[in-house]
Amino acid sequence: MTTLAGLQGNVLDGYRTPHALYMFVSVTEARVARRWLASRIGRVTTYGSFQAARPASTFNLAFGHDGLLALGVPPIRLAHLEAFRQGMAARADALGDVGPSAPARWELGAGDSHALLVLTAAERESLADAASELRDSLPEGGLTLSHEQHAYSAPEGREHFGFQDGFSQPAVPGASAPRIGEGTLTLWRRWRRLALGEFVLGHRDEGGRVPAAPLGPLGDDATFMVVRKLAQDVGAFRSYVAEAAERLHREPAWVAAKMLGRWQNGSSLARYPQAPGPPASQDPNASRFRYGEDPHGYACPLGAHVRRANPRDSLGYQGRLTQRHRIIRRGMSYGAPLPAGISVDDGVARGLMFVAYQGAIERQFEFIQGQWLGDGNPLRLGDDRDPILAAEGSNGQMIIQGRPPVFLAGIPRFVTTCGGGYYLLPGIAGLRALADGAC
Amino acid sequence: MAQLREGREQALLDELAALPSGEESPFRRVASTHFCRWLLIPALLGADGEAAEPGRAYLLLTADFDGPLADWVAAMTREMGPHLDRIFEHCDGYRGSGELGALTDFIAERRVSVGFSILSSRATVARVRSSLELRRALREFAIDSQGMTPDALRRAWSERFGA
Amino acid sequence: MQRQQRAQAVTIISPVHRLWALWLRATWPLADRLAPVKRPLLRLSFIHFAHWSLIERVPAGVAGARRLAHPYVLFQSNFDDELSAYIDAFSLVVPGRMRAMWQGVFGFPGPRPVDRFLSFILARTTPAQYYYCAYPEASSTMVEAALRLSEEHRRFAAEAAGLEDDAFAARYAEFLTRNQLLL
Repeated sequence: MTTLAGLQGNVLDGYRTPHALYMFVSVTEARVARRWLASRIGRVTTYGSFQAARPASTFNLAFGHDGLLALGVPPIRLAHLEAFRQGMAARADALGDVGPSAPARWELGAGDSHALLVLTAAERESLADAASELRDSLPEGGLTLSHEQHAYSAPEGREHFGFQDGFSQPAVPGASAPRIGEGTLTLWRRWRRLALGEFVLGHRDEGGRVPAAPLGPLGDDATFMVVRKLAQDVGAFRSYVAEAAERLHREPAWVAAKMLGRWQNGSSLARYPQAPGPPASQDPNASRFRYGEDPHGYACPLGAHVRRANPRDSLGYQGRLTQRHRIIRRGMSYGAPLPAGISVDDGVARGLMFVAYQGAIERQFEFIQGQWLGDGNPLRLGDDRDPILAAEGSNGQMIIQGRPPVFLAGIPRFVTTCGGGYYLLPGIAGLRALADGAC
Repeated sequence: MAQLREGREQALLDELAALPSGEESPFRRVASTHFCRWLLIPALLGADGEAAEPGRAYLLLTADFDGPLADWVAAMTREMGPHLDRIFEHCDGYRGSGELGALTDFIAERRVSVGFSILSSRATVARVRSSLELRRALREFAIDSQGMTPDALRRAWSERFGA
Repeated sequence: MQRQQRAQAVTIISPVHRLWALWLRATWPLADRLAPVKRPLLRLSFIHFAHWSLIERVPAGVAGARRLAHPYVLFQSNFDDELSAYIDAFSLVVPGRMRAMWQGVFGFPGPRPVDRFLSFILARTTPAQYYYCAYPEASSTMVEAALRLSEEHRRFAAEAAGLEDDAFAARYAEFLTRNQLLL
């Protein structure tokens, strides 16, 4: 049993630092890269070190399957981890990454890289300093930078479509005091924390088992990291919402909230069906609700984005069908916001660097993406897909339940995948073994 | 479940692979068939996981269909007799689809009765299909008719679904 | 665009203890008629059907039948979604019923932990070489919803036949409200 001492930071507790830089790199010289890694391990921000003293900038690193092989890890140690071994691009069909989101059209170097280096900082200058130092070290470290993306948390944590984001993270042991409603339900309808093994390898998960991990030290205090670079077409979103609102004689904020399942300030429709409640960031009870109290979706539509992504007890059985399909999200926005009031695309690249941590990629991220967002059937919604994220091949329809119900149709694509990968975020012991060539 | 003649595994697999599937499937013409599958059981395994009867393979046909067995077999004979012959000829005791009674007996003798079942619906294939079509039409109408005045709505309904 | 093929087939054939076969034979007829036994299974949204059978003898030669060394349980089902999600659900939601079904099967590890149960199922699954479904684009819930909706539609059409425009519009709104989860 591991103690979490070697777990990297930003997993159990978010850094909440507003500036970040993602560097996708490839290994060109294994021996040199291992030496580089050895010299960097001391700077890695861990779960424990971040709690003890907040650094001016944080540094974390994760490795893709091919990156681990390039550094000399024997394939047999990873062979049983199917999704991780294949990488995100190989799983594109099941994830709905087709058409404009197909891996062939991803940005150069932004898919399934050997490694991903992540810097974050509270101040822009600290990030810039850390970034240039890190960048300079790469060529002599046997590494090549293939893609780089700055990201940030906007004031109030609003993503580009205008919604405060990042609520209802799964409650797990080791994380700061969760808010009620973030864990999973007991048979007595009380909320409890999820088993640590749902998110950290080497611990028991909700099925009572230790999740499959790389063999050897790479599996200690580690977690799987899913990264997706998702371009958001804010103009298309705003104009669709405006047109639908006009056609339906409703407020645009109402249409957008029904599609998302939250008001723009993050307050849930399940708690505040008529008008926004207090901002979720300031409301200790923001996550305190069950969809079982809204079985027909009159408050929060059954097909709304957040209800699909985390259906809680929507599927019955006190949430037992959903507790094994949760992820910890640490996404941040990139690209300048589209100024308020503009509904046409201005050609600026913007979107979300989606980051999720979990114990099993297939059962958690891929299940949510493929089954709950990319299909309607598991939620009894027929062929309807997620109105925000899964437009590729979708019927573009959504029912806003009510008396009478309202029908949305012709929902276009708002989000395009333009990069991403499956990574392992090893613990400190794993990084050391990797640097020593001892995996 | 029928026992295979010796050494016929590959020939049977080839035959099953050649059978058209999806829209082209001959079962499409056997209109009372909901689901159907054919599988080759290379060997029945014993308690220890080893083949219980080495050398004996089986062909399993499972199907959910409307109405009595005899009617379904008759429809199969009519619509896909040659296919049946090419597949079942690899089984012990098969005497061809030419004589309906013999084929029905062949299937009935080898029928494995169901002990316990869970069914999500008991409607016929035709009803399932027409209901799915109607559901699509009603959804489409609900979308198109949003915001119509009562008289336009009523007219549109009559045009689409009759008076 | 719709999913081309929603339903998938799973077939499991596995030897069971002879005493267990007797128990199944004795209890199935009753269980088959008891709604409370089936209800939690039916509420799982992804099952078109699941059948359990016992095979104790097989036809041998031109006539007659041969008794097998062990009885076999034959399980066959058509379901939507991935097999792992399906078994996961069984194990989490109806572990007692899974125990009642599989207890006497050689090698049954119990419904939990999930991964061991899943390996047990996967190891005993025989792939189908040929598979046909009459309505491949529809899942079991879609079929169920469509059947119920067509009943509701018939009723509505009859009721609304003679109504004036305004009354028709009001009745139609009611129809939508009542059946929105089926549409």
